[in-house]
Amino acid sequence: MKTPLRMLDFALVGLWRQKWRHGLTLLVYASVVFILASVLMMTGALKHEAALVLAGAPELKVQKVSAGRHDWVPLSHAKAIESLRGVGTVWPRFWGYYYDPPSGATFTLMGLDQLPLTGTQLLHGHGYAADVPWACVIGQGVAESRLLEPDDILPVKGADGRLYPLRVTDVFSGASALLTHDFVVLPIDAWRRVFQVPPEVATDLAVQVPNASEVDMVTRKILERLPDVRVISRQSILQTYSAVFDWRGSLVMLALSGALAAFGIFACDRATGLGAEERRNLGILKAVGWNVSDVLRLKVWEGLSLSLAAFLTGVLAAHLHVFHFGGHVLAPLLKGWSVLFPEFQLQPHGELFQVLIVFMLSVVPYVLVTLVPAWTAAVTDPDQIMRQ
Amino acid sequence: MFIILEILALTGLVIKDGWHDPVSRARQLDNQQLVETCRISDLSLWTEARYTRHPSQADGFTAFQDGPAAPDHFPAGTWIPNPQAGRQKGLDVSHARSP
Repeated sequence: MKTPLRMLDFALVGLWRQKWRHGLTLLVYASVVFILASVLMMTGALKHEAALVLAGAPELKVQKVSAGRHDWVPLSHAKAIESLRGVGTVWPRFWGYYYDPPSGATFTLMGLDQLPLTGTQLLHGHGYAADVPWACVIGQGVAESRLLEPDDILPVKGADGRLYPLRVTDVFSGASALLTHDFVVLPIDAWRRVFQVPPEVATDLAVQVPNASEVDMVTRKILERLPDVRVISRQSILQTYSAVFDWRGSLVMLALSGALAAFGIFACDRATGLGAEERRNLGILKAVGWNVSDVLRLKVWEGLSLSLAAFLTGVLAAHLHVFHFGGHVLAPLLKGWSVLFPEFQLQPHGELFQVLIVFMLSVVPYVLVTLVPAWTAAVTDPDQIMRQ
Repeated sequence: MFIILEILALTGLVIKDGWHDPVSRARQLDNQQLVETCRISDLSLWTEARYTRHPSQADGFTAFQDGPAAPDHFPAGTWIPNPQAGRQKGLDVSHARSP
């Protein structure tokens, strides 16, 4: 009678006997696992995506700091950095923010004379035409917020108060939304005129260091040569993103901590409080010859069955939610106040580890708390149990 | 039976989604080329403030400027609703397309 399969069968029949009570526990349990797993899966996948796409970023960024604030960097700084041993190429970067009143969104205006993205699927049409005066390529978020298509005009108000009509020559595809959603890429001269930036400065400098082991040494040399700059390494960019996603994930967890505590109390109450019928059943089992270890095994099977069913339902729902339905339940928490928020497809990463964390936080404690009352009942005299 | 079905479904989904199909691989390579070409430093996820749009470039050293990982500029932001909420009470055309 007491083979594991028969024991499992007996446990499942016992659970089914009180299906409404256990059904409610399963529902609440699965919801908690769903939220926990969704947060872990989403932050893990976003961290992985950030690390993957930003792996190609230049090793160093150099910003000029004036009176504690970010300032235009003189192009002469680029020459000074390029002359250092260990430095490959130095590119000035031209970018700034533009608040667009009609859409209420802030765009990132980037100055680039060339956009050689041939062979990629990132542009819909003929791409960037720098020879067309006031040409621009826009991100999907900009196109949607201003209802723009290629050959339309995007008027932007310059720092001199004039209105500059940018002609949209192409729109970035949704595949690059994570990088270009709010982008307006335009020729450097046009960019300078919009922001009234003098020709001898740039926003910051991107520095290529061919030998990765020399990054720290080059950073030190730059800071010695140019004391008015701050240097940001690619490593620190990746660390920042890791911290940002961990922080956002932790915030969600913090917001849900009350619900998690409530579930803990609910689960303990359900698992530890044996009902009169259950106590009577245990008494009968003891009376017909079951010993303490048999009763405990039965309770473990019961707890494990319910716990595994809820855990797997929650994890399955979380996987579908994050990787197939765009994480719509968590998106508002992740989105913050962004007017333009890209839609993107995430790839699972490190999912086994995340599932293991949720398993250790949910299934193991639940099975353990079911054992305490079962043991108390199992060691009590059957006659006394049935009389109670 | 239910648990076995769930394990099979979950295993199938993880294998299917974890497998880097050629389309998603091509998308990743395209994005890497874009980062190299435009020398992009940040993701365009949060556009509400400069320290959220470019967390890695933000001047976190400035007085009263929260760190790049900060979720909001002021603690009061926890209680004050998003200013965009009022604006969007009218006709929402953000997802409409021109003919």
